[in-house]
Amino acid sequence: MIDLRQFCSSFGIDEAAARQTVDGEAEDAALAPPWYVQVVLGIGAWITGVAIVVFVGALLFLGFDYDEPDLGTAIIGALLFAAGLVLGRQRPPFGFMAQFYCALAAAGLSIAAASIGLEQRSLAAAAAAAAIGAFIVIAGSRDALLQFLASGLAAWLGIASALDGEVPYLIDILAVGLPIGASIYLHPPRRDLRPTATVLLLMMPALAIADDLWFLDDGLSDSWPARAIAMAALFGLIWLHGRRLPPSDRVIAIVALALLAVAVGLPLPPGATAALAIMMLAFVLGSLPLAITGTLIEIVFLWRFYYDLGATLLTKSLWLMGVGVVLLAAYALVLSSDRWRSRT
Amino acid sequence: MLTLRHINALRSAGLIPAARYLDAAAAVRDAAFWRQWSLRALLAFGVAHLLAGIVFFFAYNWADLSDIAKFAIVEGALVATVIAALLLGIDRLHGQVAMIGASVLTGVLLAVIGQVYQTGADAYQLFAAWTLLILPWTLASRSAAQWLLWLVVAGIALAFYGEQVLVPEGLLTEMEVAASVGLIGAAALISRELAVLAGQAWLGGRWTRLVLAFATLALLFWPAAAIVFDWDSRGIELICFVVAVGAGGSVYCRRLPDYAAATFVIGFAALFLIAVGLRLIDETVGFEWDEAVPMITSAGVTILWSVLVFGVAAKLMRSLRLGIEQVAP
Repeated sequence: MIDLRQFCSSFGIDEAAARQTVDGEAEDAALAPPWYVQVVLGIGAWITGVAIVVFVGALLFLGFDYDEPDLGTAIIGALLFAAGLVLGRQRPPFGFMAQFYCALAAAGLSIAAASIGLEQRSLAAAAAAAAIGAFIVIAGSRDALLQFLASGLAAWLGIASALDGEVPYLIDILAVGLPIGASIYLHPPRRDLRPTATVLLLMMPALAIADDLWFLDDGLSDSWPARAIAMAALFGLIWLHGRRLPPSDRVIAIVALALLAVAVGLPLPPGATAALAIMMLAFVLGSLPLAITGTLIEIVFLWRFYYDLGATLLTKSLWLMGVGVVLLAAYALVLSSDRWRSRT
Repeated sequence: MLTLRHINALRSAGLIPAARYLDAAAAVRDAAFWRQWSLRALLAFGVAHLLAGIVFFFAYNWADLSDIAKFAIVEGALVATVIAALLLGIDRLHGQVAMIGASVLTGVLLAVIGQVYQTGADAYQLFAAWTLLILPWTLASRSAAQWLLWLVVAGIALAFYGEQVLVPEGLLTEMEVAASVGLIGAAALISRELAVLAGQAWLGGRWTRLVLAFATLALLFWPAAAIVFDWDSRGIELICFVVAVGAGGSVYCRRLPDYAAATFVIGFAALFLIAVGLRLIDETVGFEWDEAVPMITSAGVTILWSVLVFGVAAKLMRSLRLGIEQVAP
């Protein structure tokens, strides 16, 4: 591992400025409660947020005799969104009040987008409103959870609108989000866009899982262009990793990883290849949350493969056993080469 | 020591250009950790694919196989995994994985016996037999994962026994059965703590405490919360949950300080208080959508109640943090 002085000298960075930034980050990390405390506080804040939505709904529909959501309710939603955003900016992005303001802003944005969608009788209008909200969050907030929720809401409404309009090649269009999301992770802008990049990475596999579970439309789970895009993203990431290896190992490692990717990805739907790409992105960057996300998605696709009607159980069983043997052989090979190296 | 988090902060501060971000991330990447992670992922996915393929194969052929072939396949695999466990050593990771495989195959064998001979046995009998048959391996294995598997099988056996025998005979309610499954978790947690205090280091992994504490509280919480919304109960579930929260709070705040376990206790207690508050608001004011004043009042009081409960929980966790984290390992 490298220390700050070595890092700054090899990257030509002003060490004093870097130390100030790293110390500030360390202070934030020391103040932030552990994740399990944040989960407890988050649950409380979200219960409160839901209660506020119910309260506002009761006030509007029972107190002021609103018949259905319209521009008036959209304005109230926008005010809640603005209040959550402004109040949240004044606090560090953790703790009960921060989670509460996040819930308030997310609830406000949902109310505003739903009201506009219902008033205009258009899912696309709701998606556009949510997208504007997501841009405002990206520009004005440093709350990663709020950015993820706002971007996710915009993506979800956009996908619903596309499904409603029977847009062709939807899964292929969404698959493009995978290389874009990966690019944002690999070449991040100064403003933190990783939550939005995560939404882009998840769009295609999430829609494929939803379609698999609820039969949304034909051809959403499986498509060769989507598979090709996901495979290309995966190969790109393998190449990125491979070029850092010593020249003696480079070609063998890249070919072996690419063969493994093809063996695992080919029989499964393209969402599973997307999961592999997310796992590879995690491996390249060293990001544990991404690794866990990719692993969970891969497990879901492996489980759902049983219900795939595109092949007989015999074909599927032979594919899976073959892939299992290849993966275990790779494991044994890496392990034995490690032992051989440690001996020599 | 620099981490990816620091690199992200340096990038946000504009000290690292976007084009060099990946190089910077690679410079701080813990290569040894990720090598180990990728090896484990290869092993886990390899085993998962192979086992899934075997399951699919039998699902395809199962009806066409003769009874003797079915037994030969499952028993052959069972014997092979037991031999593998013995050869690899049950104190080592690979041997323990083989032993877990043998334990799972024991359940499969019992299911095949039930299917071939149409024994008419209830599901609880299968799980009870499974629990007893794998107990010797569990006792011998010194593997926390094997114990966890055994606890899950034993819990399912008890749940089925309650559902199929105790509830129909009127001895327990469904919620009391659910609470009794939670008590198995509590017993396991107590045993774990005593065993660790007695020097059983193989159970000392913190995850064993946290998994058992979370599972116990979650299993006891649901029946207790359910009776809050439906008073038709003898109150045993409520007593179990309250005792578990009290004991857990006392142990993990004072005797064996553990901030994560204490947080679980506080979190479930707060959720329980929210449930109690909702019930009281419903009883006194009501959540009727066709009446303006009661509905608005109830929603408003709910907001205040949840802010109060979780605000106090936050204060409590903050005050515990310093003291516990200084003592905990």
